[in-house]
Amino acid sequence: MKANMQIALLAALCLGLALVPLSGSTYLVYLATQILIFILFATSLNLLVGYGGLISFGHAAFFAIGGYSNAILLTTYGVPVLLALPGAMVVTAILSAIIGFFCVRLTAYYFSMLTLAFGQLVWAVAFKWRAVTGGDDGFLRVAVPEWLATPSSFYLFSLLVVALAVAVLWVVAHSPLGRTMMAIRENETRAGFLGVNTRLVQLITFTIAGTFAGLAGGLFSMFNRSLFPNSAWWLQSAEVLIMVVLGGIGSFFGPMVGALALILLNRLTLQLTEYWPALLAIILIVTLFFFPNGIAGLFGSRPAPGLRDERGEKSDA
Amino acid sequence: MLEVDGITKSFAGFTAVNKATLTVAVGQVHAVIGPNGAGKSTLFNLITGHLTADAGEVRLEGKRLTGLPPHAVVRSGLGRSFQRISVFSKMSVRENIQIGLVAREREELCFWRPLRDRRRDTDELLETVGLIDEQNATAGQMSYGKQKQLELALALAGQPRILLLDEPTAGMSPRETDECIELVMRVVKERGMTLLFTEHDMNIVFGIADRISVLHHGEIIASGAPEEVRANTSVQEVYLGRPAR
Repeated sequence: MKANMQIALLAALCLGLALVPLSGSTYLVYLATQILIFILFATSLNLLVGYGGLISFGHAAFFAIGGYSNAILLTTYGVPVLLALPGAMVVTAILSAIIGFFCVRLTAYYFSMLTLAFGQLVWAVAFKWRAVTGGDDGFLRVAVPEWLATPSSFYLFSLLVVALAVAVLWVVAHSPLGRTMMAIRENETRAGFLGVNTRLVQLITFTIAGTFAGLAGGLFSMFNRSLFPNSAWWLQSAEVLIMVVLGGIGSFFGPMVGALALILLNRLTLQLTEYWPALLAIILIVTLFFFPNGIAGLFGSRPAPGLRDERGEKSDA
Repeated sequence: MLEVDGITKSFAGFTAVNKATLTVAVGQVHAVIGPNGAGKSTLFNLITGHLTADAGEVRLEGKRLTGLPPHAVVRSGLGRSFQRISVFSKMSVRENIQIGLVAREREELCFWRPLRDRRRDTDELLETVGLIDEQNATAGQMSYGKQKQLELALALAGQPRILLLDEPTAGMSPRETDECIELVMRVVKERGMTLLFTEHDMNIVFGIADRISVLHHGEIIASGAPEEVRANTSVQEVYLGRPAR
């Protein structure tokens, strides 16, 4: 009953969002598209950070891999978008699995450092592999198909893709795999002695998270019509991590709010001041100290099981 | 059922367990006793693969366990508890059990559909260990005794054929201890399990064990039926420190 209400509410929200182009404001449509893409990006990272307790500093690598793959398939090989986007996801899934294979072998700080290292490696490849990626000049003039050429049509396409992808991620978060990830996060030894293959669970989660970041990147490459190595740079990884923390690590929908809030704040402040990075730092500090459960926590959203009372404080005896 | 063959483990030059050998027969209740620091927990951790042995091997029903990761050991039919409580303390009791059932059904990789409730199996396990009334309590906020019951439930969740309990009554009041032992023995009988446990309370050990192995300075100095062990002079000297009553 309650779940049905939520689904109905979300469906209504999606329908409402589908009406944005009627506003007639191209700027608003652009902004909404960008927010949608980052909602997907942040939600995919939340699967790792929020549910798995695996703090990745290299999640942008998969965003970039998906972005470049999609751009190359569309532009260099002329593949239709309905094949290019899934193709980009497959490429990202394979590379996520390979990178994840090494990363999940390490715990805590070492995991984070390794994701950072792989992220920078992907950046270096994008930067140096000029023939394929365009290198520092960027991958320009991504061949967006005719039917997605207008801001409104691309917005509606993004809305559909993001809504479907978020629905899939919701199922993953609430699946046996998602629950097991939370258990591993809390007590890896116990999970192992219940018969859980902990590394394999983490690897599959890492791969799923990477794949959906790749889908977000694929959408972004068409949204931006171009892609630059900076999309894999660690600051991009940090930004999406801040979205997750700001929105609320403890809830499924929190990071979406975080993505929305951060992009809107960015736009608003850029009109007024050039000190966005300083403001970003202050937002992060205030979040960590005064509402560690993020914006979602402020509104009394019930954190997912196993994430209760989650606060970075060293209170665990 | 379970064969431990010359298993050895050293930590920085200190030999915690030295060539320990013991055999647990099917359906038996087998106790490992020994003074504090004798290496009981280390032996347990070696058998279950929580620690890697320097030498020797462990076989369960003829299958080599040594070198297998924890999940593979558990899937071979072994369930264990920890001396220090090891549960998912921020989850509810029910959620704890559900993780155990997901692992039992090998569903932990299933990401394409929501978690099933498994009401019947969860309730059954909760009733077995007497936690049905606490099912919605947060595990880490329950009393020590209740958490120990949950610890047992998690060890049972995989329907093991052999149960390894490391000091199941450690830290319990006398009443809790009696209840706990009664519960363990009832479940072991009902399910026809083999039990290997460590315990410091001699009354309990001699009351329920079919066979006892005595560990001293990392070595098994005696193994046998309770009367034999009680009569063993070296056991009396090094462990009991006095002649048997």
